[in-house]
Amino acid sequence: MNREFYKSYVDQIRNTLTNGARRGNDLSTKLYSDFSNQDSSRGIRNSLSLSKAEDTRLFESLAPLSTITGKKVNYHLRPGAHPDFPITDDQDFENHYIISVFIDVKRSTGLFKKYNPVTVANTINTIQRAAVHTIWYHDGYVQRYHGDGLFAYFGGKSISIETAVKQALSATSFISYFMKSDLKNLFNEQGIENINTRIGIDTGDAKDILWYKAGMGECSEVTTCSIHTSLAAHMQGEAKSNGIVVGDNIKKISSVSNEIFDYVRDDAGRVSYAFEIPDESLYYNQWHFEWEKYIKTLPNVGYDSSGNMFLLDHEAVEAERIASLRNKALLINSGSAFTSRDGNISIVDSDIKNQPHRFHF
Amino acid sequence: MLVKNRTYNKFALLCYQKNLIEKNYDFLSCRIENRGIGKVLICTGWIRPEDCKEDYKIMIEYVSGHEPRTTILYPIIDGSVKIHMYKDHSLCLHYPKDMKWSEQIKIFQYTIPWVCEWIIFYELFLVNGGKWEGRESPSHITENDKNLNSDPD
Repeated sequence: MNREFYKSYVDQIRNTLTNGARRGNDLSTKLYSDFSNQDSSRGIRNSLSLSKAEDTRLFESLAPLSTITGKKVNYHLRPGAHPDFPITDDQDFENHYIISVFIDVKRSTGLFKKYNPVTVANTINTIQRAAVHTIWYHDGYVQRYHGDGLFAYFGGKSISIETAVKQALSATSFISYFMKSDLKNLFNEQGIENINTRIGIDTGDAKDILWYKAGMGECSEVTTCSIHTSLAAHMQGEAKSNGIVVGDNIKKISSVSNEIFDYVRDDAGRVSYAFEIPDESLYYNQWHFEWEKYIKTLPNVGYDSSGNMFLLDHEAVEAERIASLRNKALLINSGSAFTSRDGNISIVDSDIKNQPHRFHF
Repeated sequence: MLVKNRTYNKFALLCYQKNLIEKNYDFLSCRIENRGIGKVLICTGWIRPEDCKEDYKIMIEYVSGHEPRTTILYPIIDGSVKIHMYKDHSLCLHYPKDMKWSEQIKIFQYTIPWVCEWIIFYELFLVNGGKWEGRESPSHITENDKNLNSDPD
């Protein structure tokens, strides 16, 4: 069992907060004691960067996530620009679906009440690092940092949109989990105002998403121009503390049960649309995504008696799963199987009796 | 006149099958569409039978009186004889010589449990070295024998 799989990040932040310089009178003494042998600008820069070995160690501490994604991921720095869309100066644009994810870290300014900028930057940096690594484990690309937040893409030319939606929902659920449980406990312990994330996710058809090169020369990037990218940013603002809001397309494409989505409503309780043109009867819905319920539906996730989540040992779970599949196969071949309302093979005789047949081709 | 009556009866039968499917399963949503000169019952939904690793999006297309065409829309799986799947990702769940399909056969009792079984056997196939553990017919048919998804009459 892998408990506290974000522990390395939490420890890193705890270490930063405990040993970091505090705001106010002690700022100068702390800073100069930390960096007395270096000029201050160099000292600050060095303290904010992690060595590749340290970053790899953090990344590999999240290896239990492989039990969710189903594949082992090796550490490598992934490019910011999505590699499937290398639009050059000669090429105007390309249409292709993508899942846009905006993650904003809220209330991080509260850290400045207690800590100096170096400590705050180190803390935010580690939170972002946890988010980035989680995204990488789920095959996503971090396109851009904006302020304390992130903008990421999921999907690409060799990934189906259904898989990309699943990856985006899983990655953002685990990021929210990190913020709401492991990190919240640490901040409570340190007496820091609750820092939280708000996440928006959306996608659309290829025809509605344009990949193009924005800017010029060195000051440019390949990015998307789409109502759905804009809506992802907008929906992030609609999310609750440590919440996720998704566009209607995400809900429709995902295999997730309807019970895990809830309407976004205004203060009067009316459904609040992400986008609407009433004259054309065009309304685009947005949904609160109940990620805590969703995580419980994922394979290999367990909870201890205190309600803390952990990931089960992959090999043991896999062996048990295969044994159970074999039992179901035997049941089917014995002619004693039934099928339940939700498609499970059962022995309950009030379910639908499976009829004998042979597969043919 | 005769053709008109048959069309009407087929539509009633499609509605009957649709109601039975919706009454007995929670994971499928069904609609009846015009296709070709007739109507087709189309049911789609996501399913992950217990102990399976993946969510499967399935589509069942039923032309009255014919065995339904059942397709795995997601994940994208390469069709092959070994897994009883055609190249268009539709499945061959039934050996015609075992039972002649007729209008009387109810999809909710036959096709849907068989798709659930197919998923179980496919997930086993993925982990057992490529062996199909379900019961199989003694002979093969060809790509041209796929089940219909539009009304030829």
